[in-house]
Amino acid sequence: MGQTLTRRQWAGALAATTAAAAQTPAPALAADSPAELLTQAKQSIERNREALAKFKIERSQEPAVRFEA
Amino acid sequence: MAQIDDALFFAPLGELVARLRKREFSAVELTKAFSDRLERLGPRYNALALSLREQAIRKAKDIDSDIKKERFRSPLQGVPYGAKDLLSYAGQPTAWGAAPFAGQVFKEDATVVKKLDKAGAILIGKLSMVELAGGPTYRFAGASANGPGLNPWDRSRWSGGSSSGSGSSVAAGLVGFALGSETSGSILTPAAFCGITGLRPTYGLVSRHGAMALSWTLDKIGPMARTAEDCGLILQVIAGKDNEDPGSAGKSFYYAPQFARPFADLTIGYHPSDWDEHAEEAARPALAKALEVFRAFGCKMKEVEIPNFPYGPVISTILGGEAGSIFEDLIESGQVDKLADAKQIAGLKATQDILAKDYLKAMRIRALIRSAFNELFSGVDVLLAPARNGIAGKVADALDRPSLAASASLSKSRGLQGLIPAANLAGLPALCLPCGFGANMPVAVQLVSRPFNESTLLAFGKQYQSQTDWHTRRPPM
Repeated sequence: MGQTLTRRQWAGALAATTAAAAQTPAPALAADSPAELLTQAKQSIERNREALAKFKIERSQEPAVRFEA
Repeated sequence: MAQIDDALFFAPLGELVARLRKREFSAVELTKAFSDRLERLGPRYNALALSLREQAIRKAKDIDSDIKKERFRSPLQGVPYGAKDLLSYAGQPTAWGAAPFAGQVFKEDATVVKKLDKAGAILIGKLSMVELAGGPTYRFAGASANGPGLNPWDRSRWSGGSSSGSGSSVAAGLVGFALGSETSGSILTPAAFCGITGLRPTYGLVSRHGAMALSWTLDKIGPMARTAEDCGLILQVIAGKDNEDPGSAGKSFYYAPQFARPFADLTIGYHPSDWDEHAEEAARPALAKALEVFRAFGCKMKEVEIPNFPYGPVISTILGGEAGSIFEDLIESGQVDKLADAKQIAGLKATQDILAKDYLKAMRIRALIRSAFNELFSGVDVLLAPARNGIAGKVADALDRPSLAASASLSKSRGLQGLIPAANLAGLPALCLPCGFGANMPVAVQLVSRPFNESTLLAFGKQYQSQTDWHTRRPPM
């Protein structure tokens, strides 16, 4: 759905950026390094996997997805 | 030019529209007044992503012409509103709160924007949000290209996310109402923290066409407003079948409070531990009073517990799996590193590790969750619980730190804890109602019901707000 910006649209985008810049800045973010955060995120996925594995369900149980052709 | 006093910025829709029709002021005057206020005060709360003043005034002129000819289109005609910046508005930037998408422009309006336009509501601005509606996770309120959402009740505190600007703009009277979206808590949380009324519709009731997708099977769009009645009027306009949204349920909604069932015939499910033990100390007095007001409706009160499922791992796996597919290009291109929140960057990258079997296991458990809630609602009509266990946290605080309530609570009961992720997994509607203050910050309750039972939620909300005035309180400006 994306498209190239016209000059008028760029003006709108720039105005939005200027407005954003005038607003209150974010506080300093966490001291954890990107690598540490990625490790933590992957560990979280692993913990979720273990929790799901512990939850026993009938083999016949179908997932809550639907597709209509 | 008509004088527009401050009280009007906090008026419910019925009053705004009635005074427009009496021509006490014109739609152009009202639109200019709200636009001035949004542009002047929006940056104070980091709430404004993009002002649409020029387009709004053009639209307002058309509305004035209609009103003059007594062509009344809807109960929203002439009301200025704001939309979360994940909803497309043709020809103008829709940045999804995220630096990598700054300047992104779509050719078409989102379905909800089209519907509101047809009803005569006037879009005056795009409102700030947590980047990518929070993605799989984030650590700080500052996870937004527009800065942290600041709470009008105390700017050192967060306005909640991910519909941060929608919450603060309604609370501060910068818009007549706003649209937000919820995947897991993004309407209820800012509504609760900002002291406004928010409605999360049943999954599929409101089209998401033209909205950023975070999770195809969880995303919902809903109103954030002053009253339950306002939410009903807005929902009536934005609900309905849309062939452009594969998740559309094909159902409509008509707000008809006169047909609500008598409260004496209804049963409220709740659990005392939510109010006495899980809630933070500061919030308990307001919550206790709210519970008493609901008891006085004459409904049956029944103690219930939330069905026992691993809601956190289930929703994280589904949301992460879907977001990881939706934003695969962003992740693989490295553009993801331009996001503001380091935890969200890491979380998005890690989604690529979610296995198909994990996603499907989560979706299989989700089917059981849906069944369990159906069974629960065979014995109660609504569930009532605190919307959040505590008040809005400080902007600089990490969101993933253990909550005060969690560390303080010694409860052995799970009560209705986890109702936000659980009800989102089951696709259930919810209504958030402000119910008082704790430490000078808003406190709120949530009501949850079975799918497509928004009418009952709104009837409870209307009754509650007829007996209390928390929804009329204004933050210090």
